[in-house]
Amino acid sequence: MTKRQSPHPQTTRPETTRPETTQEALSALLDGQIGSDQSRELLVRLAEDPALAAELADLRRQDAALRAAFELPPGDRASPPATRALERLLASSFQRRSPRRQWIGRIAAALLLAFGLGAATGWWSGTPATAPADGYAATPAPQPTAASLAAAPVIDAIGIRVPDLSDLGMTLVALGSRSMGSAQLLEFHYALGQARTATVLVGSDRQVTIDRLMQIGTGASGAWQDGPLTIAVAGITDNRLLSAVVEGWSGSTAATAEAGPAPQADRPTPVAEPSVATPRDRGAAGVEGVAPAVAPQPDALPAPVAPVLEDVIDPEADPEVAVEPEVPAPS
Amino acid sequence: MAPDAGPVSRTGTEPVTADEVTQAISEHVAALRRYARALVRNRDDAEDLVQETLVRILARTARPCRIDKLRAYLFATLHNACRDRERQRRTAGQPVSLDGEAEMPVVPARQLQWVELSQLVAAVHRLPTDQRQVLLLVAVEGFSYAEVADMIQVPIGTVMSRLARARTSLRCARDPGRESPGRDAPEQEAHIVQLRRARS
Repeated sequence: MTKRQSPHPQTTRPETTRPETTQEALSALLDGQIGSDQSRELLVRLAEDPALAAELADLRRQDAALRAAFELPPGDRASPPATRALERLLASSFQRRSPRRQWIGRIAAALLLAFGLGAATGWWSGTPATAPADGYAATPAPQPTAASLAAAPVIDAIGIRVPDLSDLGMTLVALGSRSMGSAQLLEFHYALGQARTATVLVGSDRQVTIDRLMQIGTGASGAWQDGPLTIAVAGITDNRLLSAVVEGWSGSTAATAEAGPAPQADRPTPVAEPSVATPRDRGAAGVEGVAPAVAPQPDALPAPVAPVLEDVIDPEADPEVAVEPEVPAPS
Repeated sequence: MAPDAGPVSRTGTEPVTADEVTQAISEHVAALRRYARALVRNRDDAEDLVQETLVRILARTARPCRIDKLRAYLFATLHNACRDRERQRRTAGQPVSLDGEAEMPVVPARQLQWVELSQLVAAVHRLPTDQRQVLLLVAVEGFSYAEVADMIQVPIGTVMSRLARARTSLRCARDPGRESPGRDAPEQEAHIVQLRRARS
């Protein structure tokens, strides 16, 4: 495999890039990024110039202060549940396991992510994985597809029929949830090709859903009412694709499913105007991936049913060798 | 600090357990959250940015792929997500934060030190974004100049000059009357800028 070529070849030889000002030289010395010749020259200057030496010492103290100042608060050092669940999804994608185990893992992790149970389990811990020999290798793990999610008891209990958008080139890669006051939000994250993502939001409160849409949305976006729920799409710039996604998701909730297919859903309304969303509006107090701790409110999603993970874990790992193509530049 | 400490940097065929992979990713994401928090100031926005980053990488790993420097890759992806979000906000309007100014540092310390750190944080947030990014990536996260150059897609000389300017600005902000003995004369700095432009 060939390594990705840097657009700036000189970046692979930092020791040969000369600082061109004294400030740059001091910085480079501080960071251990200076060549030996420049280092010797600068050390001579520092020995002869106490003011310059004092400046270097001050810069060193300033860097230490920067590291202290930007340390995460003790109460914030642990990732929130949604982030932690994504971490685990990512870790699982870098572990080579049998297709069946990967499939089970993805579904279980997606459900954990959705209902905030990630912290309570370590369902793959202790399982030996084969080595990503040099860096991380991701095997083409089957994703929590619409069909598999639809069959999952928890999604079924909520009453959402997750449409299969694979024909549109959209792969479901993660499922998240947020609790914002009494409102609940589910976020279905899709891969669009290799470099883009799109998100479908399903919320129990229209305004909260729209606010969240405006917060994360890039490109064209739309939102519509589907029975008691608001559904919104973010991150799709192609109008035809957006229409197809809307069509796929219309009539996807239990209320409309019981009443009949898509025509029961309101047609989507584009959300073009910027909305001002504040952290408090977005429910800073109740965030990410926590299942509702109280009985369902009239406008809240039905209470989830926790999956019984032990039933779906396959203890047998099946190491396999994957052929890994090059990863293009991240986007 | 080695940017890719842990299983990521292993080069042989030594087995890596699932726990080790999970632990390494967890450590990288902790650093990513710290950087995002420092970069965008607002805690909710920072967490969103980190989650968007992870979703983007999950989307990438939906196909067979290999990532050699995961930590740098995470930061580069976050940088791109942040850039896309900024573009979107420029066209869609800027949300108003009710959380006030920059978050205060959390280090339990003497009152004087706390005030100094608060001033330092405020000064960092007054830096131009490009300087703030480079400063945080090098001074706080420990990336090399080469890694930062690759991450934000600029020449390495630009990283050096942004970093030096950021550090000098912070020193001056902490003590406005202080002269920098190492500072080159303005005409010399202008000459250096011309030289760099000519080379590029």
